Amino acid sequence: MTPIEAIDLVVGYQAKAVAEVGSFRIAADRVTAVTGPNGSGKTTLLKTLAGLLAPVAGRIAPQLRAGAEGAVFVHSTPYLFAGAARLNVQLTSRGDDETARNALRTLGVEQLWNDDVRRLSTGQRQRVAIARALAAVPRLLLIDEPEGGLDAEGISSWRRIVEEAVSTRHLSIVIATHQLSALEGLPLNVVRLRGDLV
Amino acid sequence: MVLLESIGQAVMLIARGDAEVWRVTAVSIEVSLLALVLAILVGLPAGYAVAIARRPIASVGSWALHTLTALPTVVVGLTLYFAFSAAGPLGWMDLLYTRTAMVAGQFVLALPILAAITLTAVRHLPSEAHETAITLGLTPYRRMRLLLREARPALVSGGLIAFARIFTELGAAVILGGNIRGHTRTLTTVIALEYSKGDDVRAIAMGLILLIVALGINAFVHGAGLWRAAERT
Repeated sequence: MTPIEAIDLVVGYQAKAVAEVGSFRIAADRVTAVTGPNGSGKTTLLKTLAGLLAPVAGRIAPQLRAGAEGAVFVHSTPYLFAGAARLNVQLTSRGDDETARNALRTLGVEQLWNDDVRRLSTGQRQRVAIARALAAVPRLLLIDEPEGGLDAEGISSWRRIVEEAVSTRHLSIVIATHQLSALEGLPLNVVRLRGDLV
Repeated sequence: MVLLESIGQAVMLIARGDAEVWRVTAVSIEVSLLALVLAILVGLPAGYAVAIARRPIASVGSWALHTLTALPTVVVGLTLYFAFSAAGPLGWMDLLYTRTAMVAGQFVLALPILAAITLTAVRHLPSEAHETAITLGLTPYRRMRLLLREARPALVSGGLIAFARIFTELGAAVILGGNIRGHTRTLTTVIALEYSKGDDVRAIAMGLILLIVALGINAFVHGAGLWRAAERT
């Protein structure tokens, strides 16, 4: 699969630059980790890669569309839509309950199928959100600081997904994180943001 | 004393099952509900469109919608009267003094209220809700449905406010409907009629019936759980 390339990329909001990222490549067989201090532009970079923000300068090739076979972004504090967990995953599984169930099963939260999202813990919400993103079957999955909301079991299942994704799913994964150690042992590319523009 | 007498008469009118009261109440509910449904169908998408629009459409749209919520009912009535009158541009439709004309007037009154409330409700959803709906690759129509559903408590409140505005308005109803007995006579036009005849007690009694109907509709909306707070992350 063709890698996704960021070329001379500067990210920010409207015309205001937040981070001069430069050039890097997102390969399907490796995990791309984005690190840097608070406010260094990690979230802004992920949102730009997801197409939610336009680059201030430079370009992304190819610029993927949102959703299926495109890019899906997962917030560090994910937003779940009102109702049961299944309704959230069914949003992206296009009515295919098996895909929706599989996505929840992969994250170890199939039992939350009918649970009201208001009653979920922070870690459960994070896992449902990642399941929702996986059910869309994206080409590029961008996850913003997942470790914040995940418990030990969540981090364990998360590692399994990343390992499976890079080896069999041909899914490119970009993770913004403060904890590179959580990704230890995985084939990694690291993009370090200095945070000196903010 | 007048109030006590009015309450007594209102109770008697309801208890007796007064045919005229039922007819007038039914016309009021029919006209207002139809106008409300039409205003919901147009106002929610319109408010949503302005909410997600970029400047200057977003700011001009917001300004216009909020200004139009203050439209005087008489002005709406008169404007549509001239439009529907024989010499007016819509005279060929022959709608003057019909319930359809009354629905049109109330639709115009309810529309900016619903659109303005939708605009505010959608604009104030968390930015994560908007971004999530986009990043999941939903079509614009599914995004709209999803985000309107998230804003449901405010929209139900907006629907009740819009209904209250048109159910209790007099200006457009009397100008466009003509207060024709058994046809376009509503609770508000009959209140005005009884007052002009000097029958204050009956006028207030009809006003109390109007309040009871409004109370019933609010109770139904609450009972049906339509106002239940939407879940938030």
